[in-house]
Amino acid sequence: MNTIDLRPLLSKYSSGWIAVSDDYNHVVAHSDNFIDLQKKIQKIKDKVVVVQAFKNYYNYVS
Amino acid sequence: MKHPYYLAPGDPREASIPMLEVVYRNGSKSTPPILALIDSGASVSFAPLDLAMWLGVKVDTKHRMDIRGFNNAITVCYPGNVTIDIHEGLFDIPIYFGGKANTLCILGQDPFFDKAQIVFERYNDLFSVNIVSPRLHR
Repeated sequence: MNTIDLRPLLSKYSSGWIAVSDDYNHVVAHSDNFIDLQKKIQKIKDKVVVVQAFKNYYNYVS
Repeated sequence: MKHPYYLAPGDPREASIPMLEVVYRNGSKSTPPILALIDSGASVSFAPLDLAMWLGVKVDTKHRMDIRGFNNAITVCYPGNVTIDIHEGLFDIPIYFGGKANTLCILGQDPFFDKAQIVFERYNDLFSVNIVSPRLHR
């Protein structure tokens, strides 16, 4: 099974919420908060997946 | 079902992480699929507070939990009950909501890992989720 590479989609973003096409091909919308992102994507009929943008996913400590 | 790992920006190297498309539901409201980290190191599940606001989830302010996230920042979180919808089924779990978009959506151990067998195969760039709890439904 191949990995899904988010790096090209996230390259311009280091924070906030991003809606991407459900084939992970392109960014549809971005917002600093989820509620504003919802307002943007409700105007779009394309199916999306929402991704949170971080500069560095490697150092996440839970 | 088997799911892929995702490659995300990282330093000193790119991050290869197990994430799942999760629809969060509360009553008639639901989110689009959101990528959530499947984190065996997290005791419970977490999500940003604005997700709870969007869903209209009532959080329990009497039972706060402080979590440590990116950059070792402490975030105060409060539990609220939601339904999560993943490919394998629907089920109700408590999510600890807190912080802004800097709180990563996480599915942690309690109770998600009680309800599903999670097997990580990072060497194959995949993980599998198999439902074991009869409380799950579709």
